[in-house]
Amino acid sequence: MVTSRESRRATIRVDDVSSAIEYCYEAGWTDGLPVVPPTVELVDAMLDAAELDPLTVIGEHVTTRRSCTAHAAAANAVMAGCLPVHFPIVVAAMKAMSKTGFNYHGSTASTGGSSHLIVVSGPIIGEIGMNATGNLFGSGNRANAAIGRTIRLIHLNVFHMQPNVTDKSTQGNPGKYSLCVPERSDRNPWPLLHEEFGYPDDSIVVVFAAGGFHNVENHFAATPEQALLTVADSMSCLDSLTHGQSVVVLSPETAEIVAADTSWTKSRVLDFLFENAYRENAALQQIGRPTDTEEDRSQYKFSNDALKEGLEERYHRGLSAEDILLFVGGGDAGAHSAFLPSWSRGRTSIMQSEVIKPMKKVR
Amino acid sequence: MIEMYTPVIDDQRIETASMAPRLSTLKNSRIGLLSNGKHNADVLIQMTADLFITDHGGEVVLELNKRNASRPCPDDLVDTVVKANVDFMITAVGD
Repeated sequence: MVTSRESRRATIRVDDVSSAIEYCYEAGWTDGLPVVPPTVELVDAMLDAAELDPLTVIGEHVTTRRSCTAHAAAANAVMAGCLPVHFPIVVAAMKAMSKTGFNYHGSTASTGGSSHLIVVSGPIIGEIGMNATGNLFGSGNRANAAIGRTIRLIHLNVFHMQPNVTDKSTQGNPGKYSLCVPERSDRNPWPLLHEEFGYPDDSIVVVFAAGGFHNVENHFAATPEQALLTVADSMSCLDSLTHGQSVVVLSPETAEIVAADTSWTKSRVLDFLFENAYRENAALQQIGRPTDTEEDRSQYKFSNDALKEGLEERYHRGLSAEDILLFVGGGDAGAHSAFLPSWSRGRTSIMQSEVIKPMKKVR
Repeated sequence: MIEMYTPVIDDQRIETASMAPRLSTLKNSRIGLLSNGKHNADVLIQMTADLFITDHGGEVVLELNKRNASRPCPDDLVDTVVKANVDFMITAVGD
């Protein structure tokens, strides 16, 4: 057994880099890809830059009663390929995922195979060179890839959520290797997430236990309604239709079509998506799915009560427009947006946010 | 020579729970049921209880449901289980 304190003292010595990489494999520390050896110099530099006491607890996995120290996070961040400037995002993401509503353990253990999406918003994106444009979801950018990968390595090495042992995902999820994306600000016609969340001068992370990635494509859509009905249709597909939350990433091209009419505020867009992301009960019954109970229906919140008419025949994704996190991301060309459903079938895991504490000194 | 830290920590507040005392007999037991909330878990544990009752007698005196399989068991429900006046509990996962 290696304790938090011992992990600082009991170092491992190997002859050379290739031996170190193979040692990491043999010790079971990797996600299947090679890792950067967590050398004393690199890990200490990560902690020094963040000005964090190595034994500070930055994350907790309630059910397993395991916690993640800054030292352990830094060692895993080095292994994932992070630079010290990336580390504040890792720390913020760990804090956000440790909040009760996130249900950290369930989302790492479930057959559902959640990947932990880290959304970054704010000035840190430009400061550390994250990629919010083409190939947003991968690959090619060190910060995006290494920050997301760090979270996965922490799950494996600190919380011991090992595939097919404690992580019982039926088919896994490619996002389990890494899933960290920044919000694109220059093609966003609406307030940015960090502004909406009340931090106009700071950067934030939003964490979400995500199900599978849906590509939403309609190059024929020329109006806001046409573009957004395409998104709503994806959100209401029966394979992921639940009262869980949603993440929608609009392509810049799609956002431009929608916001060309300035009456389409973000609030109106979210209302429209929620109101149209539903299926008739008959469709659920056709595949053996239960429909809403009276109690379920009482929890819906519509911007206009008139929309409740006929609700006994419908099943909506989420319970209100507030259950949708929407932002802009991706390359200039292409009407390719994305919808990521919640991992949880219901509201077992709720997305959480955290302010990113800026680094005082950068190496 | 390369000197590395370990990225693994195992200490934590892992408490080793002791096993409940073994029963000397299953005859005429007072049985408690705890469904974890998965679809059909309640059916599975009821069938299991029926088998015990058929073979050994006894009765189901407590039926609990965690409701949500993916969330930790609420403290008040754990407390109810701990204080339950039963000889044994049956819990199960369904799907």
